[in-house]
Amino acid sequence: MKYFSLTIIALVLLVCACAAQSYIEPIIGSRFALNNKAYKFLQVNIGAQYSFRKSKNYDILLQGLISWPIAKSSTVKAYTSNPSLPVDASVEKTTKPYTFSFALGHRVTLFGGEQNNYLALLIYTGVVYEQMLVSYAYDKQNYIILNPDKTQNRANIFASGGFEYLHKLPKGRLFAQLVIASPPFGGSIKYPSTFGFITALSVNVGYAIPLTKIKTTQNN
Amino acid sequence: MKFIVGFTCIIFTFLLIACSKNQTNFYQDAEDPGLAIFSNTQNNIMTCYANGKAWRTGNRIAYSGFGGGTNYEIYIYKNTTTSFYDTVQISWDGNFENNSNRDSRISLTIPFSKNFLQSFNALEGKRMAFDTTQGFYTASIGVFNEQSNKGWGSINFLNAHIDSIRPKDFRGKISGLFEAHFATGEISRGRFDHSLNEGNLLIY
Repeated sequence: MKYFSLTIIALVLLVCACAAQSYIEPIIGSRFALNNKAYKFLQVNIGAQYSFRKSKNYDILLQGLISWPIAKSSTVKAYTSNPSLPVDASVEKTTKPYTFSFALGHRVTLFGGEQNNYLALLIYTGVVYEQMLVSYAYDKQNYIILNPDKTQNRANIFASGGFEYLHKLPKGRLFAQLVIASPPFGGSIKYPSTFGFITALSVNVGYAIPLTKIKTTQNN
Repeated sequence: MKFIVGFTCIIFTFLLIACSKNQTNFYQDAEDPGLAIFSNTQNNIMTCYANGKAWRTGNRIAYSGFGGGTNYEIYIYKNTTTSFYDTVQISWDGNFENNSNRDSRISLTIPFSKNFLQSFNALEGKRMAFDTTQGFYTASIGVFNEQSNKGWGSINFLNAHIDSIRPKDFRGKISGLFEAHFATGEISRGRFDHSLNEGNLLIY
C-alpha cells in the first residue's frame, strides 16, 4: 500500500510540474479478458484522465480507472462421504474480477494532427490492484468442493497500450480507445486456480473537456 | 583431523538435503482451516479433523543418489488370507498440523477379493459404509488412541486406479473423502489425494 501511494504521489508531482493546456476526460467502456477462455470475463470500465497537452502531437495523461465485473456463474461438483446424502451435488460458483488502476500515459499523434480527426498511439504504465472474487453457494456442512478455486488478490505494476481515434469538437474532443493491458506483474498464481489475472482488451469512449482556455493557434 | 571430519559431515548432510524433493502440495482449504483442499490432482496428502483438530499426513519426500528412497505418506497393504477374501489396509502416517513427526496413523481395513488390481480399480466412484464387521477404521492419534478398537464410518472413492506396468511396477492414483467414529473420538471432513507406485503398495 505504501508502494502504491508513493507511486501515485510521484506521478501526480511529475505531471503537475508540466504546466500545459489541460483537459479532464471522463471514460466509459468495456474490458474483455483475452486469457481465461473458459470464463470469458467481461468488465465495465469507468474512469477519468487528466490530459496535459505538451505539444500539438503529444499529451501526458494521468488516468484512474475502475473495472467493475459482470459476474460469471458456472457449476462445479461437491462430494460427501455421508451415506445418508446423495454422493455429489452441483454447486453454483460465481467469479467476479475487480480491477483498479492508476497510470501515467502518453498520447502521441500518429496521423492527422492538423485535422479534425486524428489517430494517436497510447502507452500507459502504472499500478493496478486486481481481485478475482470467488464464491460458492452450497451445503458447506455436509459437502466438500472438488478442486475449489479461491479468491486471489494482487497489487503490482502493469503496462498497457493501444490506439485512440479523436474527433475535435468546438468545445473539446470526442475519442474512442482500443487498449490492451497486461495483468499485474508478479508471475502466475501460486495455487491451482482455473483462472489467472486478466490480460484485457478495453474498448472505451470518452470526452475531453478543456480545463483551461484553448489556444486558437494550437490544435485542441 | 576433527575439522576434516566435521567438514565432511556438513557437506554430506548438505548433499542429502539438496538431493531431496518434496512431492506433496498443500493448498489451504478456505472453508476448513488447517486442512488441504479436496483435490484429485495427486497432491500426495490426506488431511482431516481428529476430534476437531487439524491432522495431516507428512510430506512425501523423495531422496536421490546414495541412500535414496522415498518417505511415503500412504501405504496400501494387501494381506493374503486362506479365506474367501483377502484384506487390504490403507494407512496414512502423519500428525497434527505444525508437527512434522509421523508418529500417528489412521488406517482403513476392508475385505478384498483375490484379484487385487481388479478389486482396487472397482473402488473408483464407489461410496462405502462400515459398521466394523465388513471393514473398519483404526487410529493411533495422541488425543485418542483407538489402535486396538475398531471404528465405524464411511469412505467415498472419487478415484481409485492402479495399472500394472511391469511385474512389481505399478502406477496409479487414489482420492476421496472419509469420516470415522470411535468410542472416544471422531475423524471428520477427511480428504485424500495421492499418486501411487510400487513403493506405496505392500503386497504379501
